[in-house]
Amino acid sequence: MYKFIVLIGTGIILIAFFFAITYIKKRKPDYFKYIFLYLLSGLLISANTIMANTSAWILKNTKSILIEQVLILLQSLLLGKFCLGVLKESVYAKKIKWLIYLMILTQIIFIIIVHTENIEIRPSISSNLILLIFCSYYFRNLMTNEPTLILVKSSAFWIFMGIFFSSCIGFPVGTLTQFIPKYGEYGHVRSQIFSIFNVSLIFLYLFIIKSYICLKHPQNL
Amino acid sequence: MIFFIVISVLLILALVVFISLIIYRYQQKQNIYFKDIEALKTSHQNTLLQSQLEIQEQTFQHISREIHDNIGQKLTLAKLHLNTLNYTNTDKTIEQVNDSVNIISEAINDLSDLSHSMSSEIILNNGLIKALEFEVAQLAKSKIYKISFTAGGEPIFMDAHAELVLFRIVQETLNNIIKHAAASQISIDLHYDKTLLTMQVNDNGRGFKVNEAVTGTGLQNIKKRAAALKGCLHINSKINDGTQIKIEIPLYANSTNI
Repeated sequence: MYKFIVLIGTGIILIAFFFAITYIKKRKPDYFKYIFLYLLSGLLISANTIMANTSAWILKNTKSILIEQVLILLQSLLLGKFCLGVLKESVYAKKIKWLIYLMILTQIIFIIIVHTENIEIRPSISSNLILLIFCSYYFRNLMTNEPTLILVKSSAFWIFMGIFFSSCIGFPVGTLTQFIPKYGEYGHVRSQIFSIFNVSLIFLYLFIIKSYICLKHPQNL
Repeated sequence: MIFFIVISVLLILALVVFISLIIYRYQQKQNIYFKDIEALKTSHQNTLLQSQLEIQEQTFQHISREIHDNIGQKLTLAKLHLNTLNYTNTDKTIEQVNDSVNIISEAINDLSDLSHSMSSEIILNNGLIKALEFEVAQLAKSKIYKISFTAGGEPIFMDAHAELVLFRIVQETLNNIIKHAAASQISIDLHYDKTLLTMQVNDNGRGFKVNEAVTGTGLQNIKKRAAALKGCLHINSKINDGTQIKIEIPLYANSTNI
């Protein structure tokens, strides 16, 4: 099940990347450069996961996990920069800047803890939580500003929806990881929970595709 | 497997509900917003219309005054000359006829100037800047005033009615200067910003006490017209130190693409 979801996810990332390439020359908001890099790092994470599951992969499991965590750190930074790009005119811009620093710092600390103390925790929980805060800023901004947007045609809206969905699922999953047994009677629950998390990530990539499609219409942010 | 499917479906449903809710709330807000904008536009149009009616009324009064005080007087004088022609004295007759022809020519010119300055055709056909250039040229003809006009920034075409109101403001201001200021120099500056049109009329006349004069009809008219364009009027004046009238009009409220 888990591998199947990973394969589907990789396919969706490839399609999203294809859209990013197709729309590379089209005039678009500045924050799309972060989304392009996000897709690129998503592809690298997928490649790393697929290779880690093949016996021919030369790197040890711990190194593969470290690579994945560093790439997730990069992705969190890129999503943070994207949020800052969208909300740069809002009153939250300064807070977002500081929260990005906090997010990166805590994630680095978590990565170090995971690799030195052997505690099982997903370092991305801090970024999930902080990205949820960014989403709340976006929604608040959306509801307090003049409602001149056509939401269904707004790229930023769909990306924020994807971030919101994946972070909503990613945060509890990441926090509860160490409490879910790996083996035994309920061992399969773990892989299913991670599959749900991966499905939420697939939705994020689907919404990124939708945001690229929205570029056909003039963007009024 | 069932656990995975059930949870996934529930989460996806929650996402769909959440997105629908956000879009629904936003669209509700958007509907109210557009209704407000529409109401504001209607009220703006009404104020503009009212202002135009007032302008029309004043224009009629002005025409009537001009015909009675100026052109009428000249024609009466010409008639008097022609009525008192003495056919026995040929030289005097020729002189009287020539005088009459001159007076009638002056009356025709005045009539033509009056017609030009009252017509809104020039605004509709050529825009505010050309109309102001014409108005300045007319006043410069009198050789009483040293008058200048400058237009800066990138001109933005406003709604024709708004331009007409603005033009009438300048005419009213110039009228006030002619009537009361005893000035020798007048300058009109127009400056277009991205969102704001600033118009400044300066003179070096005798000036006045702003607090006492704001109740006068002329300045009240200017104020009302500026308000009709959602603009701000600033008056600076000191006794014997000239007057500066500055009007700032937001372009977003008066541009042609509203």
